[in-house]
Amino acid sequence: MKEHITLKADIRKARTPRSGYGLRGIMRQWDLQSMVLPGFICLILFSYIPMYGVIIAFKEFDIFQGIGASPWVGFYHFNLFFESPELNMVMRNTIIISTLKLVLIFPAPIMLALLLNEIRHNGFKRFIQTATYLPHFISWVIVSGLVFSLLSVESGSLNYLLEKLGIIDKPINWLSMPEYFYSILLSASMWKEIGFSSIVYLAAIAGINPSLYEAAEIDGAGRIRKMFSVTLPCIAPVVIIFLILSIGNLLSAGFEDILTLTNNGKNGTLTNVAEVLDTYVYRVGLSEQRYSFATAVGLFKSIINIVLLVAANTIAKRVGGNSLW
Amino acid sequence: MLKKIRKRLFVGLSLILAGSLVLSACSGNSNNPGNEQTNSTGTQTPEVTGEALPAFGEQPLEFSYYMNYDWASPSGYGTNDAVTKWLKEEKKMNWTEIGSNGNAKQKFGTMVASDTLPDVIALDPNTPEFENLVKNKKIVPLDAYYDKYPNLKDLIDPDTMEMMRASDGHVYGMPSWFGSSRNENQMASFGWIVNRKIYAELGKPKLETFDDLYAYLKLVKEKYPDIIPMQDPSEMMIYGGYGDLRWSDSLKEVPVYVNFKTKAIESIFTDPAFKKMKEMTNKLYQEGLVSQDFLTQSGEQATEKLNSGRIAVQTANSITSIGRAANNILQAKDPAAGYDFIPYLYADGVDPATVAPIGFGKLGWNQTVITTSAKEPERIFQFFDWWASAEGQRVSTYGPPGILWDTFDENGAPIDNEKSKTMTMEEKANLKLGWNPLGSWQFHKIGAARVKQNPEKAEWDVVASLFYGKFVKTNNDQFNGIMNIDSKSKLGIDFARMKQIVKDYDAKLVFAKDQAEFDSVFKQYEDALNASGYMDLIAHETEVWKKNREKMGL
Amino acid sequence: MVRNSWNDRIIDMIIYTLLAVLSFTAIYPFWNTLVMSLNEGKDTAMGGLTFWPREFTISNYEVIFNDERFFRAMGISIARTVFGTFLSVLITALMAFALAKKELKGKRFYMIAGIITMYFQGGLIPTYLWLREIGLFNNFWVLIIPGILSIWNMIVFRTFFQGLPDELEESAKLDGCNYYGLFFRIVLPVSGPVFATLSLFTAVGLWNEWFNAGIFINNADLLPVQNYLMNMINSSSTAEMLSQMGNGVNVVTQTITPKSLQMTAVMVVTLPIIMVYPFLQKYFVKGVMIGSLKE
Repeated sequence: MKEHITLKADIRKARTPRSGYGLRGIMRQWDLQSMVLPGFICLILFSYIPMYGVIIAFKEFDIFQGIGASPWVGFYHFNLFFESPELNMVMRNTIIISTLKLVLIFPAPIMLALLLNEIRHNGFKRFIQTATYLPHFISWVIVSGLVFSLLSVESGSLNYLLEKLGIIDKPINWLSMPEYFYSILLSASMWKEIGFSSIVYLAAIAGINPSLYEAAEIDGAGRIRKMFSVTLPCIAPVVIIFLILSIGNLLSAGFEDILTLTNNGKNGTLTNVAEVLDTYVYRVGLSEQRYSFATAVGLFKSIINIVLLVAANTIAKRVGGNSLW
Repeated sequence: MLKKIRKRLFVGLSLILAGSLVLSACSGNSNNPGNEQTNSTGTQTPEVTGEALPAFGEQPLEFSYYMNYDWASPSGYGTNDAVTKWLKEEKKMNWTEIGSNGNAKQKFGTMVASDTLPDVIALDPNTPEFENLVKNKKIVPLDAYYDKYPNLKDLIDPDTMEMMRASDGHVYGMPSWFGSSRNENQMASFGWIVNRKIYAELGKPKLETFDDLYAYLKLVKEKYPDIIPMQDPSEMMIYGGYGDLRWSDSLKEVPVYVNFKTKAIESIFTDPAFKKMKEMTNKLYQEGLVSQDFLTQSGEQATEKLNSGRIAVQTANSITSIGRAANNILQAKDPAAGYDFIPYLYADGVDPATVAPIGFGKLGWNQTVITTSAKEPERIFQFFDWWASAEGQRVSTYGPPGILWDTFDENGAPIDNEKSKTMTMEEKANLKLGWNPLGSWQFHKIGAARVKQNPEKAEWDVVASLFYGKFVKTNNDQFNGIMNIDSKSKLGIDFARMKQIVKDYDAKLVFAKDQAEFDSVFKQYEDALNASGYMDLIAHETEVWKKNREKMGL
Repeated sequence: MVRNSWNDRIIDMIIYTLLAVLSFTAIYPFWNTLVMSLNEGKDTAMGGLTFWPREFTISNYEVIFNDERFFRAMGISIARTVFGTFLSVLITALMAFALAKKELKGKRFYMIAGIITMYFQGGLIPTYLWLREIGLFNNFWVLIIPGILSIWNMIVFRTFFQGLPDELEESAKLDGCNYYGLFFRIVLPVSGPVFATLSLFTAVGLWNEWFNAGIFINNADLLPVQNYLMNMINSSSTAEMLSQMGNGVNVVTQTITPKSLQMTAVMVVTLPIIMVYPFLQKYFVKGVMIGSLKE
């Protein structure tokens, strides 16, 4: 250990001449700077240059006139959005659904990764890993088709099962009852992405130093103790970074999943619980070719999301020292 | 200190930016892909010389073609089919198809924004896209071509031509699947079908009125517990069953009542038939006489039930093609099984002669336009003019001569040759016939003549379409564009809102448990629509209807 | 390692059962799709197919495999995925590595500049006009270059690199390695799991992406397999749709239904990319890093 400490000091000394201020400082660490450069150029080329497009939020964009010639309208589209009678309903649903997703779906892949880590039989483990990641490759249209047939009144397996077990005496129309919608949505989303999302946590677990487990075993820790006192703390930085990013995405409650599970809005009984910001913008903005309105709402969404991100990041920094920047 | 660093970083950043701009300026010109067109702007009415161009097929013709629909994807199909091959080899014509990528609006937007429109676009008239193309002079007026070439103009009725005129007085589109008062073979795709086997087993009870229907559905439910009596309650067909020429398309998007007596469009809530229809839907659902999943199932699930014979009665749009598929599948296994089409049902006490929910459109389904990007607009028109003729329609539907037919009868209908009788289904399928970008009513004429040639062998859907066609009375063209509302206007924004209200209450009314709940939801429905500018919509639609009638001289 | 206590066994049983059930539900849709792709189309249209085909046929696959354009499209997709993954992971990892270094000048600026792009995009039309301007329209590289840097992946990489023990790099630094040496000789070999994960994510993303490909490429010869098959399925229903517009008359003779074709396409398109993961799993072995530390 002592050796390491002295080494560190040496490094610090060795590093000093590299630092400096301004352009000269940057030139001194040319190798490090050049590593950022390709990515940074991509950022400029493919993200920043086209970014002028956001100004259409303040214009009445007409594709035939182009962005430049379209007339300015100031905050007209924002006002339209804030004055729309659906605003409360849409914001309420958005927040409810994303909070539920954050609380229930976010931890699921972590739990799956922890469970997989407990499997000692390597073949079985690989099999489960591969199997659970498969649903990621099925489109939402197909997933909701499966959900529809599973929950159908006439031929659904769930109603059949419950009836046979004597739990219900008449099939339930699960898909038309607003009170079941969140359960259906969350289960389907969780099922679809749990395996795929767990991969990154598996990678984090693979990087844990085995000597930590050995040390815990010497202390007499059981499997559960080890899970909580070794595995979890070791993958915590990854978990926290993802948590920050998820909080910074809170106003994106979902789109394809909700749209397909409400049968493209055909099932009108669900609108009151299922309409979220993204589906609303799609319906009244994009599909009506009101690009400016859609962009304005998107801008509003991004600003709220960024505020949330900054808040989450600040808290994470204060509490655990993890920070995005 | 920090500020200084930032300043310098920004200097660096702008240098990179400038560099990339220079780079792009260099590569921009050199990299012009082959199959895009540079746009000639400001083209006015094209010069049409009196001289006749060489007939279609004598000189090579090439153009790019795009259909502005999510589902449309001609490419892949139209490249190795018998017709395209024949067009290439015999008529020296080649079209490059541009796919919509499953997202037509965005594909269209990018083509407009970059001013690289394809030569030919097929799209819906009465849409902002169409009107903007006209307004921005991106498409070619076709009046002079219409005058110069014989086929299309002959097929289109004069009043239809008037209706197609844009506000500047020019005609810009070529209609597809348009009708004519001279077309004796009216076809319709909307109607009722019954499960042949079940209907026969139940002794073919009288099935003419809604009361008959209700009794029949009850009977099916009782005798066949595993059969779904009716797939879904088609509101349009039930509403039309209340007679007085109730026009079912008025229920589309946001329902309105078309009052033919007062010549005004009124609130749907003034029409008692609307409430009766909704009550009937509710009753059918609550008593389990229609599929309990009808609002929550996918289209696929619905057709699977029909294809496996688990449905006793169904009515739907394009029932002719759904019905044909189901009928053929079932009949292949059991000759007594399948589906039969029956006359339109009606409410008790209504004169069946006034039941005509489906109208006919002489304007057709969509229009094909030629953009100013096209180098030879006249020759492209020449092609479509030929395509609309009996010869073109015959080739499109039955393939080029020499494969399935060699000669045709006096109505233009091809007569099957010996080869076609020995060909297998696979071989016929490999010809990939049927791709028809511009259908004219010659298609109907030939189709009907084919039925007469060999009535036993006629396809189920052709016979059904001709059968339903007899119920058609109303000319839809008078309602052309009544729901064409600028989505950015106040009414447009309200319209989008109303459409959602309609969806929500359609479902709520079906799920209402008893009459009291139904009445209260029905009242809320009316209030919600009224609070969202419903009356403005009605005023707008009345106005458009009036203008159309004037144009058509009705 | 004898730990066969009752407690352990019960935990094992619960975990195994839970995971087995989850796996079954995850595999079933694929199995069902496979069954439908191997069943005669008209029979499939009656529904009710579950575990085995009723009328077995390979004709659906023949339709796809009999077209040489399918193989060309497959080639485009493979080239896109292989080159794209390599370049994207390289650029993203290099940037992440640098941003994980405290001594990097402008670190905060770069990071914030990156995060902003996660929230503000110019939208389709400006992007389209710009990419066209720089010659990327109808160009193979448009399938790779615009999405080459993923900020999300960069953040994941960075988080992993930050978690590496400092000791790892110190000896190399004393040997006079510059940062490139550090990255390729020290960091890369011990970061197998995260490289495997993000390569997989990138490859899956590139393989599945079809929207931009369809917008930026008009030339049918350059379309990836996803777009090719989508067009093929759409075209088989387009002809049907069009003839229905002629007032409900369906003149198209088809022996292969669009639905069967779609199911077959799902199999053909997803199988190659699904196979990638099992091969990458060997990089998820524990203790890679420690081994190299002990050296």
